[in-house]
Amino acid sequence: MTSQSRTERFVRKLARGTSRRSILSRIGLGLVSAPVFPLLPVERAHAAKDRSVQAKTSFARHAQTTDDTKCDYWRYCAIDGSLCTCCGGGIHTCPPGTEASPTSWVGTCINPDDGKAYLIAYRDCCGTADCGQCYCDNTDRGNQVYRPQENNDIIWCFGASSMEYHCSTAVMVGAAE
Amino acid sequence: MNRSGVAWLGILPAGAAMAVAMTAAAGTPRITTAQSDYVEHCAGCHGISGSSAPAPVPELRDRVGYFMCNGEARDYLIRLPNVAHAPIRDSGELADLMNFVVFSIGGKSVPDGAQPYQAEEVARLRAEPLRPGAALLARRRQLVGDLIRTCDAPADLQEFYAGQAPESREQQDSRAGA
Repeated sequence: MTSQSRTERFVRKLARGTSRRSILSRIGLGLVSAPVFPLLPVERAHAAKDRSVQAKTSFARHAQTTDDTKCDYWRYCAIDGSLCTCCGGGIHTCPPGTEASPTSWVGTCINPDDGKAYLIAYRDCCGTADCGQCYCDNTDRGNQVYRPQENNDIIWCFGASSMEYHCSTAVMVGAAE
Repeated sequence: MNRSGVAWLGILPAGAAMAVAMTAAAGTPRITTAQSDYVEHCAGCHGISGSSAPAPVPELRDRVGYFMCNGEARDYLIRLPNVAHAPIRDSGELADLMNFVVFSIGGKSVPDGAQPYQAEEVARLRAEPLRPGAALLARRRQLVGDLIRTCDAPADLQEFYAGQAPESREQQDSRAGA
């Protein structure tokens, strides 16, 4: 077993047992809020750059394009949190009473209908208690805890007036090259 | 216009910073490799259009171009840890990304006559990355001070975003974990 796979197993285990609002998440937030980030070697650097269809993951092979209230909806390839579509909002709109964060976690998802890669911004809606509905944790191309801006376990509410996480949207940015 | 179309207009900048081509089939913006790299690796924190104010993240829009005013500041942008260590191995592609950041997102802040980064230059500079911490912040304060004095950069370039109240040195060092 490589050190990378051991690390990945450890992180996945840690993520399963860790609330988004836990101390770990807050430590991660602190790192992201800093103007500079700690850096360690990135073994998956090349893989992270690959936006080709050939890089299609297990998620992409099984994703569907019709129901955006399900975790396997294609745009949710790297989402971590409650779907706003189950919480009174939409796939790109926050529920009433919440505020969209100016920062976001960004993922690259393959649309199975056309096989192309699209950039998706997972913009958290903040300001009221966790919705708790339709919780999903998809990790395509993520999981690089030593690059906090590429770790979707972080609460991406920084910049919003409240750090209280409610749900996550999946806004289409564009078709990736 | 469908709901997604509304979202794109809301998230993409109004100006030429991210001029996009629309795919014929779905009307989805198609963005260049450099733009895609920016969105995937930078925009989460810095914002799709180069600003995530009031988040405590350096605002790039109409500000980052000031760093092209002298050689030291120009080099600094490439030697920043998250740039030098970016998961983009090809230094030519990283140069394209940084040229997009500086010349498109930086907009009016770019000095006349500024030359784009070249692959060889980026490869040389990223091999000497700066280390995170108080020394890097002190370096930034010194460089930005020079840009304010000699390049007509605004005084609030020392802060995260335009119009932000000045932050004390202790607060900045605290953010960096120094």
